[in-house]
Amino acid sequence: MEPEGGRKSRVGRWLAERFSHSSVREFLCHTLSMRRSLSATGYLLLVVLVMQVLGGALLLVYYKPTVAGAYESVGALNAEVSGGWLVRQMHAWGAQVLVVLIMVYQVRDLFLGHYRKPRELVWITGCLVAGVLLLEAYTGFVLRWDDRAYWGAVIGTEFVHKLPWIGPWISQMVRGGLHVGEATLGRFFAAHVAFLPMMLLVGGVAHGLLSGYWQVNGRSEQRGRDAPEDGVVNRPRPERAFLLLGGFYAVLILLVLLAHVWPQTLGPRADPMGVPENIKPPWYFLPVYHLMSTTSPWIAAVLSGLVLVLAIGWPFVERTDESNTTARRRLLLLAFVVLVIWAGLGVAGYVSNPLR
Amino acid sequence: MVDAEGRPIRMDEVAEGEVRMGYLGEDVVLIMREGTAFRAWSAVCTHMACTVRWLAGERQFACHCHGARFNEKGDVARGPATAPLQRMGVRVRDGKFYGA
Repeated sequence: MEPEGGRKSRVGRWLAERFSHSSVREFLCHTLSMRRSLSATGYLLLVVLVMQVLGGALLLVYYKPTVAGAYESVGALNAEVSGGWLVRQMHAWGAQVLVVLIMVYQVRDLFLGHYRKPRELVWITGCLVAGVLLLEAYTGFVLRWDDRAYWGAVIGTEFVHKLPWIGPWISQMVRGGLHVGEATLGRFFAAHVAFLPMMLLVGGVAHGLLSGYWQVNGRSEQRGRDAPEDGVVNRPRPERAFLLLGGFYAVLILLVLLAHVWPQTLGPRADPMGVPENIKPPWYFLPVYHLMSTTSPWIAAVLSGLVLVLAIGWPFVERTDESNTTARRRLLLLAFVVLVIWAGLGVAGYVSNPLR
Repeated sequence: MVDAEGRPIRMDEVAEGEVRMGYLGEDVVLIMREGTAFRAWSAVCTHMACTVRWLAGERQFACHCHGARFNEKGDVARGPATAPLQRMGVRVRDGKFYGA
């Protein structure tokens, strides 16, 4: 007599023992039925992040992280490598889209109150991920080593240098010396392709796990209160799969369109002797840039630091009772005003001309 | 002191009242002739470390990053910089400039 499953290969039996048809079905039903398993913004963030990793890996094949080779290798990617310009443009635009998405994601959580007890750590890890994404976008911007990138590295590291006590030490460590040059580019490259992605992975996984933990916890609490039928909660929602697929294609089309319509051109080669006219940082640093132009690096650092501390510590600032809606509204209004002022500084930085 | 191509800058190439920019080691330096004497500054803006440019028409050094201006003595003419350009010591030997 043939043993049960005898017709299957050993690999097939091994897989069948672990992933039975019913368990996979259950997993899919559970995933597709979770209404808030992953928000639309969170999902899009993940999609763009994966695209960035894949695009970045392709760019790594040609990029040379040296002062002599960086600018030429990016130029060669644009002009000589088949499809290289598209991969580079999509990677450059993907970074901008990521910054927009993480901002939308955090602002949405802010106004939905997703930082309130017991979700403080969900919020804090979200803020840390946002910070790492900003640094990732900034270090990537520097790697092309054209004039904007070079001066971006000079000003960024000088801003750190002006911070009290440990600023000069950190600045020298990041620059790899007193001046921005070969060692600086190497450090930015290592940060962009290794250190920051690792931090992003740890932060992102921590955020996802914490967020999922409180979703499950919240659902079981809800079950206890007004127990919906299991069939209702776990109803398969295949239409969600179409939405996810649609989101993926929407992002892909958006990046290809942006790459074609507004290509991010490579500027002139970096020249330590000459700063180009009306040079501006990437848009997400425009508020800090405007503060630096109109006040002093100290004031810019203190105000940026305050906004950062307020953002991370927000769950401990807004601890009003659920019932006290007036107090909560006032604090959310404060957050809204800070956001509007910050955005206003960015707009002012964009339209300003420091040479006038 | 050498120019961007690494060619030594000679003192007879710097005309009266004119400013030349060059490298002294890794430092970017500005040098101005005043009669038989020369005055030199670091070209690094004291605000956020960008390199300043000489605007001959306005007789000022301008920083294109954040808009600071310095007069021909290197003092602040307009913010956001608050400190003057750093003076550099140079000496002339065989018609060429060297760090002091």
